[in-house]
Amino acid sequence: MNDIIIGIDLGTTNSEVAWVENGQASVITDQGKKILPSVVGVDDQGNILIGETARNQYLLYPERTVKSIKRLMGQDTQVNMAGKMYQPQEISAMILKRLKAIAEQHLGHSVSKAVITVPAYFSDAQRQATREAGEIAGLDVVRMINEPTAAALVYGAGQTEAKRMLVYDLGGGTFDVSVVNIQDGVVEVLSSHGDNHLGGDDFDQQIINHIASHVKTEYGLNIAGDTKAMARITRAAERAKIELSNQPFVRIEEEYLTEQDGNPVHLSLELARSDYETLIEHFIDATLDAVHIALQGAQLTATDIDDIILVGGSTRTPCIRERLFDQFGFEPHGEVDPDLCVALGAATQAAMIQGISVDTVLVDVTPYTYGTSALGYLDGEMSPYRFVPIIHKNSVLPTRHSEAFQTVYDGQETVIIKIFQGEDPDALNNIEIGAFTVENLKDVPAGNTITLTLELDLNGLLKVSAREKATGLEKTVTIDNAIARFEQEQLSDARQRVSDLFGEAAADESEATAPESERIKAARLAIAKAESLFDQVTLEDREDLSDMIETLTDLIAHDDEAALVEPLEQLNDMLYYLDH
Amino acid sequence: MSNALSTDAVLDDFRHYLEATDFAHLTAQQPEDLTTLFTDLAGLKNEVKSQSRQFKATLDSLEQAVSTLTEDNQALRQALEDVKTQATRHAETIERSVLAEILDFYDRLDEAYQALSHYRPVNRLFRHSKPQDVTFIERLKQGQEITRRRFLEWLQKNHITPIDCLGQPFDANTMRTLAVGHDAKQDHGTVLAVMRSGFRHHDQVLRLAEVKVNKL
Repeated sequence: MNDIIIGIDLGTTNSEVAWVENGQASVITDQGKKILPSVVGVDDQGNILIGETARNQYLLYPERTVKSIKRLMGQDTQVNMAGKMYQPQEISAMILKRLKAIAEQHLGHSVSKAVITVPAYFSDAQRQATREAGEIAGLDVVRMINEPTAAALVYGAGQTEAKRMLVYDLGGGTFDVSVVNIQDGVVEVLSSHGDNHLGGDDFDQQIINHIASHVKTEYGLNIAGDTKAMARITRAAERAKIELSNQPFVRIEEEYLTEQDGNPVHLSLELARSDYETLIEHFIDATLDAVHIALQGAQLTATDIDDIILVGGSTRTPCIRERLFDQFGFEPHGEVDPDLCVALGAATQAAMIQGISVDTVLVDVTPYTYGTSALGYLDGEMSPYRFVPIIHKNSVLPTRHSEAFQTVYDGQETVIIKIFQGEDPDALNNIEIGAFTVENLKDVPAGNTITLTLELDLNGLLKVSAREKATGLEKTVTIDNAIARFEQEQLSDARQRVSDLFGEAAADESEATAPESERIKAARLAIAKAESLFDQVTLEDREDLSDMIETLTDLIAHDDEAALVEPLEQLNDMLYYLDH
Repeated sequence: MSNALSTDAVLDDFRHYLEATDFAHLTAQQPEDLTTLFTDLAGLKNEVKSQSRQFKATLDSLEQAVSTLTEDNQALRQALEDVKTQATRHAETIERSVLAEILDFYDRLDEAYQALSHYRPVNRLFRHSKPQDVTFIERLKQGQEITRRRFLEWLQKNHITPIDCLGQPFDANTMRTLAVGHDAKQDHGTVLAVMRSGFRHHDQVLRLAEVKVNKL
């Protein structure tokens, strides 16, 4: 056990360490935390601080704290930390040493081997520096793998047929997209492109600016100089971003945010997902441009891609998923925690080197997309049956998503809500799984907002609720077995098709799969036992046994349970005597 | 061999005994044929042998069953332990996130109290605040103070204690620097202001304090 190999994601902002236990890759936690900030510092007493503590002192002691060292890896430079000069690999080594210690603490023994991930664009010098960092930390870097390779392994380690995957990695401060080919656990990066200074932090910043300009308009106050208020706004912006991932509106409220002429200033502002998406649109456009450059680099087109993998916390933003769906025509995969995916892939690679088989990371996801129909354009024509997805395929269960809709004519008092399962843009080509009507809506001009929320749990229970935003009027229905029911329907459809092809035989088989009664099971057991005794009994007994078997088999075939009782008892008696 | 010999010897002894003994009273009515008797005895012996073989086989399979059960039991116990650990960890995570949200309400209560504390009645030559307004705001502040105190007491009862920061040297384990200030009268590294209180849950940091620190 001592030569266990750990997997490390050595990131620009955060790092993680993972390993494979009982065939399952998992990230090792340190006091409940899975993520270690990639920050190193020195405290007043000259002790080394790594992770959160170092980050805590960054503003006070920037001269003795170093962050984002990954950006300097492979460069012939040194950084100053508390008056001492360090090479980038030495700083990285300190982070690796901490990760090694976290792993050792968890495993209860020393660890000396690791698989470390690096960006696909890393040069030889950068890779060499990373290897050296490992050596300084006392780790034998058995393999260095590209980050997109690691992500692809998490989703396709058991993949035998060749598959082309697009790995879209949007972290806090960096963006990378890679096209990879995976087959038999071997991943080849075909092309890669990215932006070193684009990430989720930019999204937050857009919301922060939006809030600050709202405060300016509302109170004529320049809030940017108020550190305390800005800290609250930053937190509120991040929270809003997360909430907008599954609901169409968010109310950003920070009461007593600050004071103006002795009076409290409150912040209360509603942000619609559509407005937020407009704020970040140019960033998303930039990432999609990069996607096309990467495709060109691999000399492929969108139709050549089999799967899209979402990596990095910022890919939780729904419009990224939607824009990729629009471009590629299928749902991207993001079910494995996008923050931890690379570390899990590193651990998967480590296990493969050790010859340990790794199961696919188990996550319960919905196999279908659920949504509703609304007025919209379908093949260039206006149609009332445009399918609007709400819960997307591959979403991790349980899940809850909302979408806002509007009434189409003045004084509209009722809306009929239909719920569909499927991915076709034309709702009528999908399976309708439920419908209900919301009545007594407010008599207002067209544009009355109705929020539709879909909530799907692990048992396939789909709760649908529609709520009139202005009045809070709500109607809820529950659809049982939303996942399984239609699988069964499909199964019986398939059976029908097969029996059409083969006639009676297939139909018989499907009957045989029906659950059997205890008595029939007992009869089958007795028959099996009788057959096993054939070689040991006399000719006479054998004849008797085969007669009984024949009788019982006939009765089972005719499903005549009542008539089974007597011959079964007789056979059991015979078996008893023959066996003793 | 010795076993076979001793069996013969026993059988000889038995034969002598049978010949020497008068069984007249037993066989008075129907004299027993010795050969039949021995055949029966041999049959009985075989029966005993096969029975003991069966017993042995049963014992073996029982032993095997016991060891399988013991193994299963151990595996189950281990699985149970793992699930328990996971459940505890999960519960702790949920507890921490719930407590963190509760602290958010405390923050707002505290902010409201601070805002009320900053209230100064207008006191100029021709303009004064209405005395009843001043009293109303004062009472509001008192009420807010009580609610805030009760909240803190509830937190403490649940082992959530505020981290003492103001005027203390900066500690990277419990505080995060959000801003730096310059105050020549204070030592370098002293916390000048608390921008958001930090809390401990038992001995673990539940939420870091966000502070403004003196930098000389």
